[in-house]
Amino acid sequence: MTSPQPPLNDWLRRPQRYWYADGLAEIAVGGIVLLVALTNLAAWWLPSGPWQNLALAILQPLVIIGGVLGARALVRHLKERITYPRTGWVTYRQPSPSRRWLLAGASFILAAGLAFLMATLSQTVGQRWLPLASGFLIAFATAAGWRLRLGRLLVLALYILGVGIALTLLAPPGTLDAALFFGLSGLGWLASGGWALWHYLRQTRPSNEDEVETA
Amino acid sequence: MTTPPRWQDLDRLIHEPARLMIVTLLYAVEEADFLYLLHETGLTKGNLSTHLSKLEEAGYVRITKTFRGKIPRTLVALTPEGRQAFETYRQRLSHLIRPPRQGES
Repeated sequence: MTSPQPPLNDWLRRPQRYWYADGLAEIAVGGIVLLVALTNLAAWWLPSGPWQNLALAILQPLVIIGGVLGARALVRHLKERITYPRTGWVTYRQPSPSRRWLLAGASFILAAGLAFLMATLSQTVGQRWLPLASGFLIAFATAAGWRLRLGRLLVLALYILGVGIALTLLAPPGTLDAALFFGLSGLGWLASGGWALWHYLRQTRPSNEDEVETA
Repeated sequence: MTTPPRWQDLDRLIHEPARLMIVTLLYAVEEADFLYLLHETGLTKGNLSTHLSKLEEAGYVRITKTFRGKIPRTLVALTPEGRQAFETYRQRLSHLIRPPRQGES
């Protein structure tokens, strides 16, 4: 007796894909990346010296941490209002405390490694190539969304790589290159998330009471 | 040496395509509501209810009725027995589709 193989792996990924169905997570990422661009823009406007260093060394990490915490709460709130009444509610499995520590440690090492890589690149090949290196790294991470069959993330990855290449060729002065890179990338995330949200809202409607109950 | 599984050894309750999809979706989450399963499986409300009842009778899922504000919500989660049954099913299925070579477990 033979039987066609059921697409178990695809079904197992569906709940993960569902998190991105409404585009809200991408919009949140876009918002955080735009805030990072604003800190770089602020540093570019400030005269070179301690204020500029302060803006980048203190303001930027604060903006990123605050942005991530705020965005998580905002996305949850918006999902409660927009997504769950339309296509249902899901709680995701949380990693065990030991795995959570392992993930936090791995993220810290990765972030420190990337910062070291960027600093080394800046000192050896020159700051001009940073947008290309950043574009390549962020595009690579974004393209990983293809694993969940999210084609729009592949398009977004190509766009971010294109922004990195264009800014490397144009070579804007000072921290303006970072401001432009993060600003244009953030707009890309917002556009991708906005497009997904628009489609989601067009294809779904809030369910009425008898739809959410078992028969 | 352990006896290789046969098609007859697969859990018939889970092997049914609609129930297999429900169990697989629930395996990847902590808990989901009826509306989510309705959207993801594409089943009718009646069909989904019937399959969930069978899984609940077997002790594979836990169904909880609750409220979100004034709106009723039916929450569904796999029980530890349901998780174990799915893992066994998946293991046996993979052995049947790609039998391990000699020396592999």
